[in-house]
Amino acid sequence: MSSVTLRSVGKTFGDHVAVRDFSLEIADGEFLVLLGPSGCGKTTTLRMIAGFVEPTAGRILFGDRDVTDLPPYRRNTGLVFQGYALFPHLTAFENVAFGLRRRKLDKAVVARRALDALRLVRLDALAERMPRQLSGGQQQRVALARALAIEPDILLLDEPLSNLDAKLREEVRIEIRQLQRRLGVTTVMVTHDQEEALSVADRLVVMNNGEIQQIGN
Amino acid sequence: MLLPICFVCWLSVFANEILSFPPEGYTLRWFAALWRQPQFADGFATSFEVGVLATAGGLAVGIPASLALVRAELRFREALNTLLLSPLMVPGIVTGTALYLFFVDVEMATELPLKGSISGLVLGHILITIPWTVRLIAANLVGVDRAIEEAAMNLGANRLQTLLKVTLPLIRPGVVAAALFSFVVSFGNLELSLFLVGPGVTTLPIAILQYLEWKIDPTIAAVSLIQIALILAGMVVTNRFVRLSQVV
Repeated sequence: MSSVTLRSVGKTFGDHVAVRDFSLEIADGEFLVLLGPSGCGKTTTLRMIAGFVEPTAGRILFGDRDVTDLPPYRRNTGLVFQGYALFPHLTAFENVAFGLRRRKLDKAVVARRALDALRLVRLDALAERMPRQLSGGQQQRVALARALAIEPDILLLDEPLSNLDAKLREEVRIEIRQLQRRLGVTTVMVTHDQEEALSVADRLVVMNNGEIQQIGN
Repeated sequence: MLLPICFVCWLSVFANEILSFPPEGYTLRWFAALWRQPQFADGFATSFEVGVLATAGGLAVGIPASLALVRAELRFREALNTLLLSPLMVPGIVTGTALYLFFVDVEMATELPLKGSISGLVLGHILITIPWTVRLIAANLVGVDRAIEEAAMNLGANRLQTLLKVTLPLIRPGVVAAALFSFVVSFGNLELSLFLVGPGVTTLPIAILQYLEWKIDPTIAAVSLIQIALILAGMVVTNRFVRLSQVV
């Protein structure tokens, strides 16, 4: 677990300014939501925290560790992608175990922690299924388990509910919120859905045109 | 499309001494005669060896090239793409002549035995397999969601681990299809090989051509049939690992 500090972070692509002078402190264990219309820079901000986009200005700190120049695989964040991005050639179990195997843990530890993570999202019974044999909601939960299994310092959610139907969205939303509370993991979620944002956030950051417009509780 | 193959099958069992119509009777002796003609067995062995090595070489160039074309943000992407596909645009005879002259120059400069050797043939054939490997693998790679590779990196896999554990398994159908096409293209090549073979190093298509200069009997149909059967067998075996209908 860790707090996150963004210090005057900015990103320009050519002459397009995606994010401008973005400064924010995210407390340890906080659930922060970035809200805004598409193209407002919220996903770019999330991807800068994950390390997939290099900021053109400012610094990013996890706790007091400066991670601005670290590649994604050295940051220990758990990212849940909008389209889940499960490994289609691996079972649900192997998907979740993937990050643990990269950490060179003992085989028994990998198996235990992967199953624990699947149990957390109530999918331990389907561990041996391939992603294509799972429903959208189940795939989403595997993606969540995969991100949580590595015990990330920060959990990042990129529009995690946008591919689910209305009823399921409500369910998964509540589940994510409860899990986050229970594990106390610092979480940043990106969404364009106001209601969704209000129902899960400890704190809400409204973005527009690459800038923070409003911060509210 | 199957009609020529049917005719070849039929011709190979004609009893006529010279290929002609109608058949005077039917016999399998042309197949038996093949065993007494070492140039075909030798040609087959050479073609097979060159095909396997050229396929491996083509993949060794084609996989990294496809990754660079699709994944890296290159400034000269279009130019590189055209360059890699160019062996398809140049007639085989022209490439063959150019390679022959080039090999002569290189041999004079370095004394490496290139012309009329297996290594020369393999190098030439790698050239004609590259467009196929790059096309097929790049097309496969375009269909792989980038987020999946990002997910691997997010979970702690560095670039090499991501390539080995995620990207390569996902483009396996493209790689298998590329290997198959490369082998077939190399195995059946005539125009390019004409300039690169030498005494004792003759590929099967050239052995067939040389035979045709002196005789026209159903032996040729029998050789062709065996060649077709072997390629078919290769495809059937490949199909067990990857559904070919999905990759071609």
